[in-house]
Amino acid sequence: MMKRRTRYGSMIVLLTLFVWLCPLAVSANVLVQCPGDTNGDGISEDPNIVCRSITGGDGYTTMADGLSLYIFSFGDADGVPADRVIADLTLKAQLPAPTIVLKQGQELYLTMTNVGMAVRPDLFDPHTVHWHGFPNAAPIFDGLPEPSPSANMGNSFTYYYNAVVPGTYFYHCHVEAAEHMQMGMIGNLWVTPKQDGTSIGGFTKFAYNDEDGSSGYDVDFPVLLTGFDSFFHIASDTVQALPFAAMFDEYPMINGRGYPDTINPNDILNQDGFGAQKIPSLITATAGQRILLRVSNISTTHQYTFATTLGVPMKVVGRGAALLRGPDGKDTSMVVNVLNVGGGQDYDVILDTSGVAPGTYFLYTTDLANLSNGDQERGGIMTEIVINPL
Amino acid sequence: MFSKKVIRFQGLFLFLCLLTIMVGKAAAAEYWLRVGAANMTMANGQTVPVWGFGLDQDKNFTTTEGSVSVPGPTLRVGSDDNVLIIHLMNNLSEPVSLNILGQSLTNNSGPVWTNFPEDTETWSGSRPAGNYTARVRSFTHETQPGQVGEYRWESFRTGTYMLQSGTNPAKQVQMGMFLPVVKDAAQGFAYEGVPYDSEVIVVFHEIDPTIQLAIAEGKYGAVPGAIIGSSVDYEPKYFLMNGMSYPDKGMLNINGTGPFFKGERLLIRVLNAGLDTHVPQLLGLYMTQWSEDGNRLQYPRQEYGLELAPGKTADAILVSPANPPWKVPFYDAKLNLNNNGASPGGMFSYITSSLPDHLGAEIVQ
Amino acid sequence: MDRIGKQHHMRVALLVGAFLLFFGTAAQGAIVGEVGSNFKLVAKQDVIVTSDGGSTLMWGLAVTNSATGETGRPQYPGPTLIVTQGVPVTITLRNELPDQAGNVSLVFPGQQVTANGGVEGLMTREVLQTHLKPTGAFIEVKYSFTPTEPGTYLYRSGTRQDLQVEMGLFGALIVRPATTPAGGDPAKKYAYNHVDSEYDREFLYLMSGTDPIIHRQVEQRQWNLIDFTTYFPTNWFINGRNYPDILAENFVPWLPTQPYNCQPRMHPGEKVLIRFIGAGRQIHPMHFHGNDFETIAVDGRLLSSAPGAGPDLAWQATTIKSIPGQTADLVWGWTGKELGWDIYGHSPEDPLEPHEYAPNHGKPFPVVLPPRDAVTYGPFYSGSPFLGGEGELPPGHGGLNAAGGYFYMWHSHTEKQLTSNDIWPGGMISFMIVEHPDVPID
Repeated sequence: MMKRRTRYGSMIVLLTLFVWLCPLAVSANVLVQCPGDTNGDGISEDPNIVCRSITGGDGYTTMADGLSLYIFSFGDADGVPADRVIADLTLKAQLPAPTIVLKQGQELYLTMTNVGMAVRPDLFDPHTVHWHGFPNAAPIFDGLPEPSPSANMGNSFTYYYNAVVPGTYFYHCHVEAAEHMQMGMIGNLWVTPKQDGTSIGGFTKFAYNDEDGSSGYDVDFPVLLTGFDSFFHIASDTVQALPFAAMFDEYPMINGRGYPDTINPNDILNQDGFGAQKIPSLITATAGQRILLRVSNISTTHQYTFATTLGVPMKVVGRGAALLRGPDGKDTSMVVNVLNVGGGQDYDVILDTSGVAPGTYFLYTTDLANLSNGDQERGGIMTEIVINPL
Repeated sequence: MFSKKVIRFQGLFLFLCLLTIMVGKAAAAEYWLRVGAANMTMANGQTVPVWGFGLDQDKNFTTTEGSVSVPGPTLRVGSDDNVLIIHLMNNLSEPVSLNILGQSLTNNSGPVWTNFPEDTETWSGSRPAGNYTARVRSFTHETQPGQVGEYRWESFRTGTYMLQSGTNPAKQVQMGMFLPVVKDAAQGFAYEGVPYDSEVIVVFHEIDPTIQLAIAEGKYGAVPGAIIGSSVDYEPKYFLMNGMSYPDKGMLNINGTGPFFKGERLLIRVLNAGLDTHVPQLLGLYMTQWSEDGNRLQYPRQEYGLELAPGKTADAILVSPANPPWKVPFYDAKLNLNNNGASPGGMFSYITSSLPDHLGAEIVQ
Repeated sequence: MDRIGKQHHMRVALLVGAFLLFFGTAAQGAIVGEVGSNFKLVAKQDVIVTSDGGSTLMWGLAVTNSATGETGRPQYPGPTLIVTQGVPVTITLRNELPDQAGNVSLVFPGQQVTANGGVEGLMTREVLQTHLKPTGAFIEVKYSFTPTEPGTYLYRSGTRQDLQVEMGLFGALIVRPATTPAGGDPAKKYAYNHVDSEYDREFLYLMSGTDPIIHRQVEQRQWNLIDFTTYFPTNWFINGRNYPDILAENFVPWLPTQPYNCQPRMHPGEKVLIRFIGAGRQIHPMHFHGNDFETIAVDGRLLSSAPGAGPDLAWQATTIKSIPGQTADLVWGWTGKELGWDIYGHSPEDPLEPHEYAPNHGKPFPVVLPPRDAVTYGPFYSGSPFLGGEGELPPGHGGLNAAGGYFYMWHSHTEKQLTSNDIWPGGMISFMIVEHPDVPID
């Protein structure tokens, strides 16, 4: 990894601004911007400001059949001093990327540092962060590389979002989207509503500002669906031409894992012993509780359909980070037993476990071919829902 | 037989109500089902091994009479029935179970996990503590080969549902273990405020003969000698509505023969037992969708087609545009219209209204 | 990363950008097509160009000019037919496809059609090749219907649909409302008979794909080898073109059989109507950067709780699936409100722009942007983060966004479909450009 020398002029401007903004040391062009951070820990003293620091780079993951696959993704650089980001976080990409949770009304300063792809020193790809579904977005922070500047290797870009609209979203890199998203640059993101903390209908947590408790829940879980095309990842790992036309996901996953790894509470370790897959998908609740599933699909090749064996319907209260209510307030929520999620779609699904007997149930894909880890059966998009007695 | 004609006739309705009260309310719908292997003949003559459900007519499983079919026979739960009970005889050589998406199996003593891939150990009811490698084999309690199991759903909900195998669904449901289960809100009413005069049930599914042959021969899955490990490369060659493809005769009038007069309401129940999405579409007419997965829609939808993902059901009303005879194409707008590549074929049918053979024909079944 | 793809992208983007600069874009915000009630169409074989530089054999529809009687080359997709609610429509179809292609026909989901002439087919009446039956009732088939409801519809071939739709025999049908809706303004545009279907500009999004193997088999007359069970498309189109060809004008001479572009543009505060049609056989989840859309109608019917209630069941999102054979109408707008900074880079004493979100007026840009050599400038970056802004661009940058518009990618979120025959970028990519209020669009 070659360190880039910057021009003097911009360096002085940067340093001046940086010293004013926060006391973190500057190294190369790694710059974490966090207004209100007075002690350099990457956390703002202003409760309305959320600062996050992530890296864009590469790494490895392990599929549920044991196959090791090369990935690109974002790593977790929260609290890491600027002069350590590249050294410490090379090859530490996580799948999915670190989850970002905000409260409605907070401002997010998200610094993404491109640490480069250690396994592919021939690549000089920039990386970006696209907050999928952010309303009234401006291109400078939208993460689309075509109409904006995107961070080159060894450099940081700080994205700013004023999170005024609650809901379930997700984020991903948008550079050469077919490639970078297939390679795994995806993460969960959601914004909790202002209504949280008030008591309505027996709930204090809600998916939206419904004013009547209809999106109230007790426990919530992300369900980020995607798939890997192992041939594509192996080609990337071994410096071969990338097979776009042949792309076909055969490792379908929830939160970056295929069954049964979805129910494993521990990190899944990659071939380097690093826990790249940190998010299990086991869903647990006490009988009678309402479960909120924050569902999204980011596969570059497939739609996925899923159901549960709970025996109760799924109430879809939100879609596309919006409460399902018509323009004049009519209830347009959907009650289904099976839900299809196309790429780029997100839904808020409530499972009301009243009357459900304690026990273990399943959330699984009804496109049965995707109950597979590649050529291995009884895997793929499946996780368990454990309902505990009161 | 998938079509049914009901006379919505004030007097008859009242009479039936009175009859029901006099006889006593029925509480349970009870069926004796077997599951077994069979062969199905495709529209082009190819035979494919399947595993299907069939009704055991004398309700005691002492003989093996009664054939199995794919889809299996439609089971009806009366609008006054609260409970569905199924006695299941397993004539296959591996364990099976039953599951209905959207309904709760009251006497569930499963699920069943195994040590994958050997399947030499099983655990029932909950995952063994600290074991993160065991994989579920059945969502509900299993019925072993040669045994009879009982499955009981209480508080059975109104609507159109699909009963499927709850065991290794990628394998067993794919092989054909599915059938429709329907419960009306009341006589002649699919849901509250949704009356109908006649009904057609259409189950969509596909067949990949290479995978089904491997399954039938025990050469599928994480087993020694398997030639296919999983269904991830599923590539169906046949596309069926109620187990038929065009030009099977039953596709010419998928709702059966018989008159369907102007203004009458045909309830179209569609179910997708396949692994791919289909888009049932009418040509030239609109239907009103009233439910999704057996849940009555708060606001019905006016559409000429609808997206039917794997596992989904939907109910829609088609109002007859004219007196007989007429026919309207009813097909998959995703254009799965071939039989192993040959055209015409696949998911193409007609909804028809035909004149009775003779005047004064019976219109009550 | 595909290095060849990246160079190709830059070159083509530069070329198209040059066209844009010189000729502007023809996106006046009205959909182009054949307007009227009597249409004469001929099914013909021809080729189209894909953005990877290849060509594909297609079956398209050519329009016979009613005045001159001349029929040009066919087009992909078929002509967008723009008709009026309540006015009877007649479409006459002739068949000049190769003999082995068989009969051809058209079906109109959602319309009650009477067909005359030709021969009876599975779905409707079909017509044989002209030269096989030079006179009489077999030479053409007439489809007649009176559209009773305004909205967005489609037509497809009704003969051997899987092959003929794949080969390109489909198009859009737009029915304009007969009158201004109750309480509406005759100077405004409405998609349906309700004031809540108002829009300022409309754009067509007709989605399709091709599997080159099928087209090669047709080209080489290997009819027996055509097998849709192994269908595996590698090319995807919006309005019959891949990206970046969709950026060029309507009717560019170098795309003679692909007349329609897809280049939406608007000013902040306007309402854009997107007529979203699933013409092919795949599902495409279209994602709209920049803001949510509202779905107001499906299959030509407003999402309405009761007749006359208007689209009171409309739902909003940034992604919607295009379902084969189904149509949808979406309304999209953008103002940049509540971003937390002034999108124009104003000082507080500067005047407000139209539709500007006043509480953000004069608020400073919230972060320090990296220096120019720390980043890669995309081809549509003006050099400034502000709407209508411009900035210093690095050497070699094409300067394709001289007006400083905000570009939002509207694309399939099954990202594999953003390639053309293995080349990134391509396929189902388009860009909505929100222009500064002072930038003339039409």
